[in-house]
Amino acid sequence: MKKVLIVDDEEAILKMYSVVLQDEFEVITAHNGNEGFETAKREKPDLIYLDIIMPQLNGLDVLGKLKDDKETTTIPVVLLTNLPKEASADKAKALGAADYFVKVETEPSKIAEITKQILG
Amino acid sequence: MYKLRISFWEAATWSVVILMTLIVVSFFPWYTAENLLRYIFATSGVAAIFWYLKSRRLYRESQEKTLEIAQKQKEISAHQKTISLIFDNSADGILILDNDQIITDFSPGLEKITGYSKNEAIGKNAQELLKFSGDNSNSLLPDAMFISRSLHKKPYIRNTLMTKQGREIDVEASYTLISDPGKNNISGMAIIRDITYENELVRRDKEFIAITSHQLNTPLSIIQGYVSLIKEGKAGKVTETQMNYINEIVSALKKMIDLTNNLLSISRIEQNKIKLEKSDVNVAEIIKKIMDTFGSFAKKKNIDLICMQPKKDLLVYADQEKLIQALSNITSNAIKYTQKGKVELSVNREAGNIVFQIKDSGIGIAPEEIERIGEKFYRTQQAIDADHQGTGLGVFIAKTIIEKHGGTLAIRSVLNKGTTFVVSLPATNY
Repeated sequence: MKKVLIVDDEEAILKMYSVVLQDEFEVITAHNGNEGFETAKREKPDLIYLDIIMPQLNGLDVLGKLKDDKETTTIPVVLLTNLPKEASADKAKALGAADYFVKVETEPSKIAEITKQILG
Repeated sequence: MYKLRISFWEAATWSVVILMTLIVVSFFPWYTAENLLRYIFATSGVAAIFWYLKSRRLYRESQEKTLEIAQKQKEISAHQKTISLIFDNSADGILILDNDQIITDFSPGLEKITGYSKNEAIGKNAQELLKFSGDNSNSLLPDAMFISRSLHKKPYIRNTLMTKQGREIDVEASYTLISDPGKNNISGMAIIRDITYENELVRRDKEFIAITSHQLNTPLSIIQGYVSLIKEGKAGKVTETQMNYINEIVSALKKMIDLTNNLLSISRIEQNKIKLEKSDVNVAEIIKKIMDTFGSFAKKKNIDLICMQPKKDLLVYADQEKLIQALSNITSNAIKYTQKGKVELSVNREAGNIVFQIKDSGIGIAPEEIERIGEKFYRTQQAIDADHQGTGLGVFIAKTIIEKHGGTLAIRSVLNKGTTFVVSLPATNY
């Protein structure tokens, strides 16, 4: 079973996306940027969903660290945030993000579709 | 050319003297000693009277001049007092420099802004004392003043100034040259205003909307996510009644999401952060998306939403998401402000443009209000009467997006008959 890591400081968001993914994937979660980076290094997931505005280390910084680290650099990272695309999508793409979605426009079922598409 | 200047009194005196001479000479032969004396007495008498009158007049005039000069001096000193009051009490700082950029005066306002005292400042070079560090740091005082002389206009600069205590403050400065007539001595004056607080207010105002709408979006996305999970049966079977209730939640939720998105758009427009990601977009697809979004809303209001797709494939070079947002805002209004009848969506190619028309049979807009449609927060009286919940942001956002694309938004309307919004955008194919 492929492993998906979701990093978000909102417990309700973590639970919501886990519900649609847990039947087909092993879902692991982290509640802030630092925990997200540590979990990614330890668990080596196949895909990471990453929020941007989080305590300690924001999502874009985590993305930069993941891409700089040779252990995690190949893991596809999808930004899942409520910051509008205009604000951060360019920066995220430049840092190596696989894609960028705005939470309020992306229902959980859509996340299930995207995950299947990326992980095959 | 020499001009003869002679006063009325002088002319009169000399005329009378000449007249008297002529009279005396014609009545009495001048060569007798007696007559000669008569003549001398008569003429000098008349001359004396006139000279007396003239000197009295001159004395009076000089008295008046003295009074006038005293009055002028009083005015000048009052004026100087006013200037010095302004200099001493202005919250804006005033700086006076000589020809070599040496500070010759430093107002109390400037002491407060910069932290330097007048004593510390006077005699120092302005550039050395007042350090600017903003984007315009090259435009220091002497340069700016020189520019003002060569361009014949007052330079006006916003910059960051380092205070004596090392704090950076935002300042706005205007410069003027003071030339001294008769001397080849040009000095300068700068008026410097602390705009740190003003800038902070503007920044806070802009950030407020961005932060609020972002923070609103987080709980909204959670509500929307869980409602969609329930709707999909992830929490068990949903009864018909439950589904009806859920649909009410979804439609109210959509309104809230639209509102926060509109607020976010406004905040980005005002911060000039709207970026277009343009590509060749299929027009038919845009129309289809709008039909999908608003079909149920129109049906609920019993309004026919009619769509006339173009006969052949048309492309428009645009930011698809933003164009859909603009057209959705207009279509949503068309349905909202139509009580019965229909809303027609059509698109055509006209000359070099792709022209979308959104035509409704709604409440219409009064002629005098048409040109105000598209102003931020503006709503017509009819619109307010028809729906209290509108924000007056939809058309403003649509208009901004359309204009960013190099297009135009035109409105034709007849009150109580209906309105047509015409969106015209530069096309890309034939």
